[in-house]
Amino acid sequence: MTARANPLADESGWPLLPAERTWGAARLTLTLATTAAATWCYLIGESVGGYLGFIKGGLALGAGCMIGMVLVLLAAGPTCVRFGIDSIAATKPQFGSRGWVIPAALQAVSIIGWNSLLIIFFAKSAVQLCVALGVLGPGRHGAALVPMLTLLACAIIFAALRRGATGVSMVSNILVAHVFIGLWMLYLIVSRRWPELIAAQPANASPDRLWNYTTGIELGIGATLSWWPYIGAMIRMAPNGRTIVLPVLLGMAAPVPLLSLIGLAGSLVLKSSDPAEWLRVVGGPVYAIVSLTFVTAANFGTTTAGIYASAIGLRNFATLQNRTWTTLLLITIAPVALVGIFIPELFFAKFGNFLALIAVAFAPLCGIQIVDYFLLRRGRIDIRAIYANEPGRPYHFWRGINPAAMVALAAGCSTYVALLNPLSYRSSAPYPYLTASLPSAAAAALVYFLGTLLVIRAGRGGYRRS
Amino acid sequence: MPMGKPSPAPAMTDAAPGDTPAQTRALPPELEARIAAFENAAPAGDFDTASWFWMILLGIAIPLVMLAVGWWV
Repeated sequence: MTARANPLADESGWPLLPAERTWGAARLTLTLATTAAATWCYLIGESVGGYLGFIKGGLALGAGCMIGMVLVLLAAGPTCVRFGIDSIAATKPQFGSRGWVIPAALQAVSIIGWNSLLIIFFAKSAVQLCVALGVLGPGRHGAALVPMLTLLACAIIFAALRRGATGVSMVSNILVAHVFIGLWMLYLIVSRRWPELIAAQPANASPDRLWNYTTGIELGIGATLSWWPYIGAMIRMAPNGRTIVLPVLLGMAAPVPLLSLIGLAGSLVLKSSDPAEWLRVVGGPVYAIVSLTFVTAANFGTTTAGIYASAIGLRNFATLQNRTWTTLLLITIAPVALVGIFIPELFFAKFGNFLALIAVAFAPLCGIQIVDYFLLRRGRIDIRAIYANEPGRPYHFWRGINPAAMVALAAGCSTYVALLNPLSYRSSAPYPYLTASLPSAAAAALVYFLGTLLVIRAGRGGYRRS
Repeated sequence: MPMGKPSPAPAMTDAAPGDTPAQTRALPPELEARIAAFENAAPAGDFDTASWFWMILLGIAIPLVMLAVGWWV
């Protein structure tokens, strides 16, 4: 390697040189675990608890999470880790030197949406924590304090991320303890309420046993597919593929079903997935304080990683390539802060439906990337073409857009919705046997493969004719 | 949403591949150096045998066992 390592390289969207990728397996595991563990685990657990009991739900969710994570790893992993680039840059060989704005839009909406949700959760938990500690008296403090705490959290995240990926790692080192507190909470409810937990019946279970089981798997797959936007910005800091596999599978995928068991158990036994509520019942106010501390810390860590991934993704826009890191952080944090300050309650009420629609797109995106990298290109990626978008370059396709990827993405999304309506959860006949995410990824991969045969015939895309 | 617009498309039509060489627009010097470093180095691999083993074990085999156990519980 001839280029000199740049200490600020992790704030750019450019490829990181091996000398700049200093995160080993332990550091990556720590960061990914802190990123994965957040309030969404309770929500995922609660959703599964509507259809399945504790053991069956835990196993279905765990299996689904691991399967989904492998899809994400196979899709974004190879290109990101070989060249030290983020998830968005890795989509240019499939979507084209202008078509990548579609995955970029999905990433931005997904990460900003999730971050807004988590930061509002953070603020609400912090208010409850202050009440539990006696700092605030009982009463309604939310309306005034939530916006202020949102702003404070955004300011702290901004300050931490001024140090780039080092800031994410630093926050993770401090907050990783919350993962163990989460496991302690799980032990608490399982050890104290085991007979009730085993006997508890899910509230919304369908008469079809297979449908319930498949839905548990689908929720697990969907949960980890939503890591696609985050993963590139994290694994690009590791030196090679060997370093990332176990950290991603054990650090990012495994904690989600484990901590989701807290929400699953809480919703089955105590009819509440929020540990701050049921820990007060199980262990008194001290346990509630521990739980609230956990929730506050967990959401803070995840939001920090999300803001970082989103800011790196913005670097792919030509107009933002030369902006300062501070400007990018402000652009990324601003929507989160505005939502938290002005419309926190409205956002809470409507966010679930919106996110369900966004999540539909990540399964086909993974299918497209996997078939392109492993089958069509056989691992041959032109790193220059990812950054040079002039006509004639391999990833310019037609006016910067690869129609095969666009049609395949649409086909994958349509397949998902045809199998399972993500808003109403109405499904069609094959769903209980296939899930929705896996056929959606497969359909997108197949359409992309067939479309790319035409692209190759036209001599576009930098594919080898064979 | 903090999205900038991509740079406007050049006013030209794509020629058939092979007929027209790629138009070269200078990349920022540091980016150029980074790309050259990758182009001049031996191709970096993605996943080695051990990585595939762990992916198959943790991402396929164990989940299948979990699903089988969960179904019969």
